[in-house]
Amino acid sequence: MARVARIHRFVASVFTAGRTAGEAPSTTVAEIHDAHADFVFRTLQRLGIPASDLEDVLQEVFLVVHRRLHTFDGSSRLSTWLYGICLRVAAAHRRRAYFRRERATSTFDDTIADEPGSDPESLALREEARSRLERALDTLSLEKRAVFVMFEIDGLSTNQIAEIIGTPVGTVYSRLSVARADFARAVERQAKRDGQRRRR
Amino acid sequence: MTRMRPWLEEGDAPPEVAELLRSARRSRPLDAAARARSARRLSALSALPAAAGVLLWAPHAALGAALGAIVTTAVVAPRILQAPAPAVPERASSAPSSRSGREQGRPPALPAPMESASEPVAQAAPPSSAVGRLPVVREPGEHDLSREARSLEHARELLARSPAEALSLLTRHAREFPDGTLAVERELLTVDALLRLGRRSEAEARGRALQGRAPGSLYERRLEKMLGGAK
Repeated sequence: MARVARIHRFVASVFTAGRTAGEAPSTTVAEIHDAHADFVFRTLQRLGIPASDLEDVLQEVFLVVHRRLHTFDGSSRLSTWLYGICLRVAAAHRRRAYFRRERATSTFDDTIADEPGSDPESLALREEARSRLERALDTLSLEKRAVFVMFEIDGLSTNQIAEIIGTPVGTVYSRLSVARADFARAVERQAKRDGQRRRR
Repeated sequence: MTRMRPWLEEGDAPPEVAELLRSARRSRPLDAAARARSARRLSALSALPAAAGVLLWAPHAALGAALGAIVTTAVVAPRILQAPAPAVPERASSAPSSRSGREQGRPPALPAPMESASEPVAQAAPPSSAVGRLPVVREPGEHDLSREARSLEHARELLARSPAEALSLLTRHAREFPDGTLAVERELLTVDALLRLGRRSEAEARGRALQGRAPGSLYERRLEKMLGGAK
């Protein structure tokens, strides 16, 4: 019975051009892209997608949106629904073995050269620090990573983060606390490993 | 609840942590060029049905079929063509469709386009070639669908100016995605390419076979139009 109901809902959605309950009458994938592509793009960065893969993974997310829009019933914010899709797509990306290999070569894009203090030595030091930052962030679960980056790096408030991820603010606080502890441990382990390598 | 402040503002981050956080760069926005590229790719994708098998059910609803008929068609359709399940879990945070797709039976793959002259077809390098010796477990997930759709989009763009090249691309597509989600779209494009190349009998054979697999579907009407116009 539930499957029949889902089929019925889906078929109805085909003839309502992507209209979903709780949304504006004609919300299409193109309209969602117009309104939320930037949010999705930033979210994927917060989830650790390398710069070289961002546009491809952005399209993957909107592919899922294209295929699954009929399942969105408006019971959550659209941005929360999109965030959930980003999480799953990023998780699949992370599972693929080559992601870790590509990390070393594609973390940074060419905009790094436009930053202040762009002499070669400053750039090298900054790049090295960012590489260590990314390695430490990669040890966090995606949910913790996203919250940590949104708060500590992108400067979003806990209320904004709670709205995005669709949880109470208290959950944001607790996730942040755990993320900080995990991040600090990862940085400490990294420093020890790097120190051991230098002594060899 | 004490309001939290960013770690750097609170001043109690360990020195190594503080150093890394100070080096961090904020997420960058989607620039205009990338946005335009993304929108173009999306508009090409949107011209394809969201899921080949699922949309086979649509005409039956349009005819006001009873719910039972829709169920019957829904049961029959997955045996005809691959149909990623629209029957997704209720919560928005459901598993990716690739997993629900795998839970259903997978129908036989559609044949690759026939070529008048054989040509060596380079197999697409699997992602494992990019990772050296690490084994790569490839899941037929969204990443594959993206590649599958992009390849078909390219083939469709080539149809008007170079149907031979489009057909070659579709042949490679069939080899790379023998059980692909967009197998029906590929077959439609193949019929179109064959017609443009004047290979009408082949086009008609492929078209009739596709119609036989998906009677009463949206594709049936499109195929009728294509094949009818070729006569």
